[in-house]
Formats: sequence, C-alpha cells, structure tokens
Amino acid sequence: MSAGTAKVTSNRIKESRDNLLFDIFVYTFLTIALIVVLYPLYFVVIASFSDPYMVLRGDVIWYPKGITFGSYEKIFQNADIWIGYVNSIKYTVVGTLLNVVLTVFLAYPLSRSYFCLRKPFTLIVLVTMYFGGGMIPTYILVNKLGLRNTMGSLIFVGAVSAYNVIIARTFFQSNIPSELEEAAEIDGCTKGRFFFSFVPQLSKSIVAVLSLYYAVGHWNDYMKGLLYIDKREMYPLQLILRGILMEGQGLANDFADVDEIEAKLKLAESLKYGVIIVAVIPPLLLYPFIQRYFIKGVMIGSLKG
Amino acid sequence: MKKKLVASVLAAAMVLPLAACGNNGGGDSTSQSSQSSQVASSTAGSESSSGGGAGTETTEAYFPLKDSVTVTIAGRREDAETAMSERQIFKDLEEQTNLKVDWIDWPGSQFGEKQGLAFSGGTFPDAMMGNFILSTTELVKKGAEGWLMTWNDYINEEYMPNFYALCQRAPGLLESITAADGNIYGLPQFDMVGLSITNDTLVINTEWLEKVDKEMPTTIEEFYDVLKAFKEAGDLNGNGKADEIPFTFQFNAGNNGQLSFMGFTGLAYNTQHERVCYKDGKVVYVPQEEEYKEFLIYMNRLYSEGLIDPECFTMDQSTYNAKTQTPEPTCGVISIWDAARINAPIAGNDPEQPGVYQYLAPLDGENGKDPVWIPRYTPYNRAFCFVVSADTEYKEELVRWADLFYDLDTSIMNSKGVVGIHIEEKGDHVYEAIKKEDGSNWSTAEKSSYITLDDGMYGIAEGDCEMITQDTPQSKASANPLYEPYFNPNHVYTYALMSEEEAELDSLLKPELVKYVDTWTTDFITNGNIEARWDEYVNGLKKLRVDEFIQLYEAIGARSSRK
Repeated sequence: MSAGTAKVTSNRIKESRDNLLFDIFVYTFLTIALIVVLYPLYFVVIASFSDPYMVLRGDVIWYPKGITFGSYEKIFQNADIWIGYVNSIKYTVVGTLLNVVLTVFLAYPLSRSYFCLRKPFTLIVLVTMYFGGGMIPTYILVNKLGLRNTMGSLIFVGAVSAYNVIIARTFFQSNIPSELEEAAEIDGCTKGRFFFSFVPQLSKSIVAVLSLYYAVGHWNDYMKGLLYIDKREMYPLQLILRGILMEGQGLANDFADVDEIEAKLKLAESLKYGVIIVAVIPPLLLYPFIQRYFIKGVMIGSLKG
Repeated sequence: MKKKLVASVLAAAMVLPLAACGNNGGGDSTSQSSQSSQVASSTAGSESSSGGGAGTETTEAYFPLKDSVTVTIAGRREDAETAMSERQIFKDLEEQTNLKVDWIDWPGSQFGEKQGLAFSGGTFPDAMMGNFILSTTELVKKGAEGWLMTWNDYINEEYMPNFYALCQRAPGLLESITAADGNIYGLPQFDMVGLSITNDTLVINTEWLEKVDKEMPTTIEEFYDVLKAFKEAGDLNGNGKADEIPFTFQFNAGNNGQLSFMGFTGLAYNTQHERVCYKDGKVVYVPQEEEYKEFLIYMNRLYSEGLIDPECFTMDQSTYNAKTQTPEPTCGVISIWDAARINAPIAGNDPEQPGVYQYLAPLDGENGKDPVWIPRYTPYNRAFCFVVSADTEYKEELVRWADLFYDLDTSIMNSKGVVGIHIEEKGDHVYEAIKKEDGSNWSTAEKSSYITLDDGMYGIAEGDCEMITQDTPQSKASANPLYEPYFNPNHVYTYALMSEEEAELDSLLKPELVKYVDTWTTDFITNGNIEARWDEYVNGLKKLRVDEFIQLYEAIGARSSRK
C-alpha cells in the first residue's frame, strides 16, 4: 500500500530529500524485520529436510544439508500422530461450532439496548475475565461432572471466552443498529426471526474472526488435554507432539539404558522440525480463506468499543 | 504465481503423507498381528513352565478370580512405548486372572502433571505402576501422609510367594526398600544381571596420539602434556578447519561428565551420590574438600590454556552426541558411555577393531592418594515401581496380582524380552539377545507392545540367569578391567530410605547447595584465582548449612546395608 502511495506522489511532486531518506530507512528497517520474522520459519523448513546431526552441529544455516525425508517418513509411520490428528480435527470442528454459537447467543442480547438485564449480565461476563476458579477446583468439578476422558471436557470447559463475547458484542452494537431492527419489526418481523434471518447475514466477518480465534485455540490446546484426558486413543495432537519432542529428555537418570536414550534423542531431534511443519499445516490452510474477514472483523470489533 | 506454487506444494505435502501412511500402516498392522499371536503362545508357555515352581500353588488357587474384578491402575510409560492397555502381557494376564485393569495412561511427557492431579484432585487410582513411579523422597512422604498401602503384612509366603522367594535370593533387598519408619510402601524393580559397572569412561584418540608421538598418559601431568600436544599440533584431523578440541565432557552429566575423572584427587562422586562420599569412614561433602580444590586448580589450568571444550558447561546431551559422534574426529579425549558409539561413524561399525578411540585408564594424581573411579548402581537399583492406594477395596487382589510379576520366568521375560522373539534360551536360564530380521536390535518401543520392560515390576537376583553378550574391544565390558581396580567400596556413598523429616530437610538444603556449588565451580574453572577465593567459597557453603547436610547423610548412610 505505502509503496503505491509513494509512487503516486513521486509522479506528481518532486520528492524532497528528507522523504527519500525516510523511505530508505523505513524499507531497510522493514526488510530487517521481515528477515528476523521469516528466517526462523525458513529454518524450520530446511531443518526438517536435513540430517538432524548436521542441524545440531550448526552446519545447516542457509540451505538444507544431507537432505533426507527420514523425519517425514517416521512421522507418517507414527500411528500416534495420526490418532492425534484425527482427534484434534474432531475437537476443533465440534468445539468451534459450539463456541461460536454460544458466543453469538450471549453477545447479541448484551448488545441490545432494550435488554433490561444487560448491565448485570455484562458484569458477570466481565468478572470471569479477571477471576477464575483455578486449576485444581476446575479439575475436581470436571471430574465430579463425569466429563474426564470424554470430549465434553475439551469443548465445554471454557466454551465461551469473555474476551470474544466483548468483541462480538461491540460488533453487533455498531453494525446492527436498532433502527434496522425497528424497521423489520414494522414489517412484522419478530425479534427471534430477526436474530435468525438478519443477524447471520450481517455478521459473517465477526463469525469468521470468532471461528479463527476459537479454532486456533482448540488446535493448539495442550493444557485441557493434559488435565482431563488419560486415554491414548483420545489424545489431541499437541499432547502427542510434546511427547515426541520430550522423548529421551527426562530419562537422563543413572539407571536408564544409554543406547536407548541416544536413539530417542536422535529420533526427537530428527522429528522435531518435521513435526512442527505437520502441525501447522491445517491452521495455515485455514488462514487464506478467513484472512479478508479477519482484518475487517477485528477492527470493527475492537476499535469502537 | 508465488501463491499458486505454495498452494501446490502444500497440497502435495498433504497428499503424499496420506498415501505413505496408508501403505505403512497396513504393512505394520499385519506383521504385528502375526507376531502378537506368537507372544501369546510364548507368554502362556512361560506361565505354565513356572507353574511347577515352589509357592505358585496358593496363587493358582487364588487366580482366576471367580467373580471378575475391575481395578483402576495408572501406568507410566515412555511416550514412544505402547500404552499399558494395549500390551500383550496385560491382555494375557487379564485372561488368566480374571482381574480386569482399567488403565489410566501416563506418558512420560505428561507424568508429572497427571500424578500431581491424582493426588491433589482426588482421583487417586487403586494403584500406580511404572518406572520411578514415586521417587524415594516422595514415597516416604506420601507414605507417611497415609496415601499408600503398607506391604509389611503381605510380604510372606502366603500372599507373595514369588517376591518372598526373591528376597531370600537377594539378601539386603528388603532392608533397602524399608522406610525409616519401618514400613514398606512400594515394590521395586530389581535386576542384577547384565549390568554395566561404570557410568562414564574416558576414551582417547589414538590416531592423534600417534601423530603427536606420545604414549597413553597415566598421570595427570602426562595427560596435560598430551592435551597440550593436541592443541599445538593444529589441524590434526586434516580438514583445514580449526575445530580440534583436546578434551571434552558434558559438565555434571552422569555418563559423559567430569565426575569420575575427578577421582585422581582421591575423592569423587556421581550423580546419584548427592555429592557426598566417605573419607576415612566419615561422610564428607566433596565440593568443600581440599581434593575438590586440587581438581579445580587442575581444571582451571587446562581451561586457561584452551585445552577444555569451552562449550562443556552449556551443551545438552543431543549437542554433545552430535559433537562427539562425527565422521571425522574433532576431539582428543572424550568422557563417554562407551567407545563403540564414537568409533562407528569414523571407521564404520566393525566392533572387532579396537577403533580410533580407546579406553583410557584412570589417571594417577601424583599426590600420594589412591585414585578412584565411581561404579554404577550403588548398592541396588531401587526404582520403586508399584504402589497401592491405602483406600482401595481390592488390596488382596492387587497384592497377589503384583506378585505374579516376580515369578522368575515372568521377570526375565519382562526385563530381557520374550523367549523366541527378543531373546533365545541357550541353556538353563542362559539367554542371548536375538536381532530383528533386518539385523538391528529391538528397541524398547518395539518390545513394549509385548511386555512391561521398565514400566513394570521384575525381580532377578545375581545368578538367577545369565545374558550372553559379545564383548568386543570397543564395548563397555572391555573397559571394566581398566576401571574396576579403582572402585573403592569404602569410598562410595550408600543409601537407605529417608524418613519424612529427613526428606523435608534434604529438599530444603540440597537445591541451594547444588546451585551454589555449580555456579562457583564454573567460575573457578573459567576464571581461576582459586586459592584466594577458596575461603570465601567455603564460608558460603557453611551459610547454606552444609554441616547439617553432612550430618543428615551420615545418619541416612548409617542405616544402609553397607556394613
């Protein structure tokens, strides 16, 4: 964008020296920033194709060395990763659906000025942003509800995030004016009908934003799985990935078999980067589709609070 | 254009793996199912062969249970290993005993959090099982707090014939698992056959030694000369880079560290000894002894002349492995588990050849003291492996179920491997490991789909069985004659279980001391000026109550089986 503007202006008026210097500075700075951000990502990609020991010795810097697909081979042979993959997709899809529906259901009434309990409910929602029950009490609650080792523990706990409710509420306040609602009412539309027919049409961008927030949250969620799931066939991907990366780390006691430790360390080293790539592919695929809503939705949601 | 490329690469990345996975998955599952039927028959075989043994009759009368009982057991495993619920041994056991186990899965990467929650969140299962399921300190603490069932009344011929028999074969075992309050809170893993007797060994690059025209060093002065010669010779590996390191080790690492090397001063410890040892029959804290100072001065001398790897304080094990196991040698002397692993990348894996790196015997300090080297496993492998909740309704069932694991043949199977698949019986209780069809060794992850390995109980006393190994000049066993003469049983610290108060005091004092000593040691080695600052350092130790710490370990050691 700024490049375009710069060009346009330079056509019209002769650029002053100061502006040119400023541009050079900005571009240099941004290029450095870009490299700083991009290089680690690039490194992960090349490291995943390189001989793990060469990576460890610091030989791999600009391009892959000792190219091998061994790590990907091992990843795709690892049954646990696929179990985790399927589970995580399941938890993400179902969880996100529930999150978005509940958030919209809560945020919409809070955005209507004629809703008489608006203030107390907003306060109640806000309180949860600052105070939580703590890990152990929540764990005990989940256990007593019989949700341990069920999908419920992963999708019901924290199903509504107060922060997202506030974003959505602000969005509704500014994008669905009460005038619109009144106009519809004059034409004989009930409040319920308005909510189900008009609101979804008008709030695609906020739904996209909420979905992305929640979906990425579910995909990266490690803690809930760690706390509430102890059956191998139910682990989400993140637990399994951490397991692979930690392999051989805690074993450095004097009784463990040294050959085993080394084999495991080498395996962990060789899988480390490939695993990162495999784990970020689904969110990466999601971004391009949601991105255009994303920028719009967040701006609308947050700035006009 | 660019976008399209990225998209198609991603698409390809997504499709390829799926196809590959389909193939491999299919292949794996068929081969696995054919093998698992083998295991079933061989497990059944070993169970029935043990049927004739003494004491099994009571157990046989007890199992299978008339009414099926379901117990919840949390099982700790390594992440790469099969979950307990899917292991063949437990499927077989369930059939034979009619005791169903509802397994809670605790992979190593989640173990700490999950066990913590089980205690604090009120979800303590009927029993917990796994390698180091509770550390000795936690065991006595949780035991004294009343969480755990005590085994005292059950360890007898009636309830636990197999474990009782093991205790007869291994004198001292029972004492070593008894807490200071007289209670036994957990069952151990115990295997005295086929152990390595050292942790760390020193290996030296004989090719370089020849190039600089030196003999194998026997004293620390000769050692210094050799390192100096390595340093001065420059490009010894001839790769044109200045990547030669005269001496490398991983600071404080049990298997790759400087700990036994310190023995030239006459005092040393390894990671399991909490930095104490016996000197003239009394417990001393090594880092405040004159010997330690002598060691520091020597190390500082090496360091200041660039003879020690400057990365030795910061490397983790993966980096260390990568550094030492290179195709072209970059290190002169390495502290390492065995020579085979660093020779293999250089000369290929021909274990019959002595290899470039050869074992270096402990050095003489030339200070009038006998050099020492630290043996492994002192005195027992006291890895507690099975504890039962004090509140469970199924105490007797669990006790008798646990005892099944201590049957000798079952123990050998769980510790060494399944006969016919992982090991081969060469004679009466003489075994040799079998390699896989492709010539490689079975990994624990692969074995774990059949048996418990270190995640379960086993008991093998000295002489119960024999493992045949092919000793080569490079294997660890060949280093034994070099190091064994320097083991000094009057020097190495031995333990008993602590009492609750002792454990409390220990956890209060130890971490501070460790941190303090490590900081100063690093400083001393890198910056020198040791004589001038030594008193200041020792005063700091006194402030951290080192004398109390010594008293504590004196008291604990006095209760140990060391007589």
